[in-house]
Amino acid sequence: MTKKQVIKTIAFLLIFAVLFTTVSSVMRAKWAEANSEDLVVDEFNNLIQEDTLEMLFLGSSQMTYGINPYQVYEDYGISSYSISSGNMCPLIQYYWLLDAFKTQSKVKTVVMDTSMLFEPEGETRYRRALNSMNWSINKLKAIWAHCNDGIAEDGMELYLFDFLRYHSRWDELTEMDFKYWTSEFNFFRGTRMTGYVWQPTIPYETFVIDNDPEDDPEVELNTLQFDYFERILTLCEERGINVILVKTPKESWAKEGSIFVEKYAKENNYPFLDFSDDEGFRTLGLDYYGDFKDKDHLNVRGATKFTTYLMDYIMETGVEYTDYREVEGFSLEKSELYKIDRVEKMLRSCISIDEFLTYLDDEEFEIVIQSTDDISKLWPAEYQKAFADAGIKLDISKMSGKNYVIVMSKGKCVYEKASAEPIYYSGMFKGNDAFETVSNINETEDDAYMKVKNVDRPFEINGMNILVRSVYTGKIIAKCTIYNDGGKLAYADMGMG
Amino acid sequence: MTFIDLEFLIFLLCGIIVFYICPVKYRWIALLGISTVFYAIAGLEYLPFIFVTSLSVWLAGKKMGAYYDKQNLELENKELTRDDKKALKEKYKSKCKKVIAGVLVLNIAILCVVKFTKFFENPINDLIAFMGGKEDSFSAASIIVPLGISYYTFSSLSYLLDVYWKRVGYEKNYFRFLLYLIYFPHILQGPIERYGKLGVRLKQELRFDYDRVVSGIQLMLWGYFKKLVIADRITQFIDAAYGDYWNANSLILILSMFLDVIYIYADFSGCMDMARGMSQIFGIELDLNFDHPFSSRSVTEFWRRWHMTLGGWFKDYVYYPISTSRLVKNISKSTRGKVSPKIAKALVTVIPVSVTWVLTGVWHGTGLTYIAWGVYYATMIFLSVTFEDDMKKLTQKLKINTTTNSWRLFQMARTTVIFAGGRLLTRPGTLHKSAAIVYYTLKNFRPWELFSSEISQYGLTTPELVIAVIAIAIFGYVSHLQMKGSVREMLKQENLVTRWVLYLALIFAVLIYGVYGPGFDLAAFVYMAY
Repeated sequence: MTKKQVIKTIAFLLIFAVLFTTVSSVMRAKWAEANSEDLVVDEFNNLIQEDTLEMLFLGSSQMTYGINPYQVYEDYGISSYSISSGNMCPLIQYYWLLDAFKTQSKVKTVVMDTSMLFEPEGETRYRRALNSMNWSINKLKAIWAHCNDGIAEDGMELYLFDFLRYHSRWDELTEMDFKYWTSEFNFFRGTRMTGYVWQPTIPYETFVIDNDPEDDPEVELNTLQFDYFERILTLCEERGINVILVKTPKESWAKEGSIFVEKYAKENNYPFLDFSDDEGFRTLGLDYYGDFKDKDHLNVRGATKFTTYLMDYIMETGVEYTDYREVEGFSLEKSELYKIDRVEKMLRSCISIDEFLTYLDDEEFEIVIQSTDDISKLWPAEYQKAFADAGIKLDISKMSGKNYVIVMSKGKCVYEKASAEPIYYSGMFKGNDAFETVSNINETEDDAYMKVKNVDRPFEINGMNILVRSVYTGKIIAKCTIYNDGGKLAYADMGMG
Repeated sequence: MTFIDLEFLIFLLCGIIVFYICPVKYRWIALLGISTVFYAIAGLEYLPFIFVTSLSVWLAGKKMGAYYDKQNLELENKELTRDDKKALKEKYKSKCKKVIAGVLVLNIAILCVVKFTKFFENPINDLIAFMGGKEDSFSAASIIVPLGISYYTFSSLSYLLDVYWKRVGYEKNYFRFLLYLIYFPHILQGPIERYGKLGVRLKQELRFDYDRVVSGIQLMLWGYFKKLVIADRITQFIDAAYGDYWNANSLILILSMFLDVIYIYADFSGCMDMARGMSQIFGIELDLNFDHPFSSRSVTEFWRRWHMTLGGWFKDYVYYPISTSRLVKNISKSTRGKVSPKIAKALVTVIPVSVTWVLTGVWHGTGLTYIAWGVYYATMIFLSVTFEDDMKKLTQKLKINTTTNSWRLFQMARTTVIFAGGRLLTRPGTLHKSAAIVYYTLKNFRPWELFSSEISQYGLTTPELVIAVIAIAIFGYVSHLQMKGSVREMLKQENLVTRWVLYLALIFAVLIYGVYGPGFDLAAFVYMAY
């Protein structure tokens, strides 16, 4: 070959490699949210300094949503990380843990969620977490173990070259496939906060497992996953790491699972904190109607309670941890972003008027309030006090038969008007996003509206409609309505759309 | 391991590296090793079969070669008369006949047993039961069917007959002969190579040539496009339509018949491009198997352009021997002057045509459908040859200008329809189903449904159909360009950026739109079962 031919060949192959990598990442199944699992791994490798973690939370999405390492640091000073991913089974958890130990040798405790021990095999149990592992011997071992020890029907080549698996998605691609999430507001030390509040469709009594014990219940144990569960325990034992087994509440968990794990934990001397029954609920102080984002995961409120209880428990175990709050030069990465995100998620998760009113004067938000129904007669003094504390002069209790519009910006009231006639107001949010609203308590369908960037933001219920926008992200954080519910005021979440 | 498996591509890459690492002098040995490994990966149990065939044929060729060498030596005797020489030749020919007969019978018998036993599974079991044995004790599934047995058997038989007929000299080196048979790019689906061509090419110095290697890769890529993007996609539509023939709209069934024509062409020619392309990488040219068959104006012409190496094989080793045989000569002699020239011609044509085409049908597959296929083409060709003059007179009478493009298009369309008819005999699986499809094609005429969403109910979603249509259009356009010359040579004239954009577009078209991987049944190559 001539030199020119060599250069041409290399150049062509390089271009092909770049295009192939790009196309592969577009084609790769994103499961829930874009490249979320990649972020967990990337942040672990890029943001966390070597040997600064003393606690790891290991598990599937229950850990992703259920634990808050920032809270663990702020309230207890412990530096921790949640190496968790949606549907991640123990086989992959084991190899993720091995990867984590490459740079973190000072881990003292691993808190492991046991939710995946009895889950049936399925592609998402492996793919989501496996795809996002950085290429390493551990990843190759994980692929090998899955394809050869497991019941995988696909071959190793489909993991080594996952394009082979996903190329047929070309007619299923969505916007999400072309997005690459950056790390800003999405993950904080491996976990995500969500403000969504699930409206349970399952009665509480059905959700919680009954705590009627039964000896040696029959459980369909996934033997391969159990093998790797035990390998995790052994690995931690060899490194002198304490293991605490937990079970966060979720709908798809049977009491037989709890009984099995409890028995195993007892026989092998592992603490097991089981919150899947009524007692567990009460121990955590969980609100079934306010602390879940869906039937299997806690939201930011539930995660706060879970984290608090878990950490209080851990602090009683006698293990000494470094208080990183007192370590000079140490601070949590993205802490400002975390604070912003947390307030937003907490506001989003409000389920009562009282809660919501505490955010009125928060500097993170721009708030537009319009009236589409008269609630003046029900408006109590304490709510008015909250309004007044936020700088709003209009007394809602005196707004009988009147329309009003109130605009708050970064904690200050910048506009308020009341009138017997419908009120039209238009303005600009930070970032020059135009908004407009028409307040009309005698509204017909077209008379009252709320628009942002000329997109209608409907409220299904009439009352005091409130739209909240984040100053930092420009996103609509919440829409809610305080309304007359049979003679008393009620709070309804209107979503974010 | 087929050409579309990832394992094969890795194997090929390793093979190419090993090949070019070897010194030029020993590259043929490397090729033999690579081909043997390929065959062994397919199944170690197949190796004894190919060794039996290669050894028996090589030994027979060597023996015959030795006889001919001796004959030539004796013929140098100037004292021999003409009759002496004739007798000498007859003597050695007779010796060679005895050598070849046994080996021919052996290898044809092996081929027949492995291929056709399943056809006789039921009668064999009936016989066993009749003789007091256990019912259903014999299963044809237990018979090993070696990879590429039809192809390498035909290649070896052609060598044997060519040596017998002194068209080629015998190969002295067994391993060179084995390489000719087992050479992996062509063992799966052909082309069926003659020793006089491939054997010679394999003996040339196999040096690296960058342009040739790149050209080979391009040809392979084009083959993958045809196979994975077109053939394996549209076959799903055809299967779905034929699987629901009693409900399907006539136009869907007719569309399926024509898609089946495109399917078989894309699948088979795609595989040929892969085989020729990878062979080109090693520096070995393989024979063309297709020469724009759908530009044919008659069935006879079609089969000179379609699966050319198979057609050539049957022509040289079945048709001509029969048509010049004593039997046919006797028929010709006995009918001379007693019947019209046309009938006389028909009588001497019918036997070789029928035998050739029935055997061709049987080569393609066991079962009545393939025999019917053979009879179908025998009939078509027989009629075409017999009434050729009558057709000419008719067109003259009707004042049809046969030099026009429209007439040419009509002939091409007619030929394609005949080919589609032949496919209809075999694709559905049984003659009963073929007849039923014809019946429902005539019965379920509901043209208004063709433009409804019905079309996307047959195995392919609307996006898939769009891709299929675009890919077929590209295939058609490139085929049209190929009639003017090599498209790869045309591309060489383009700017670098244009070329690279086209190459990358083709690569990603195959990678993204190719039908492979989980969720799709690995569409076996149509001709790999032979």
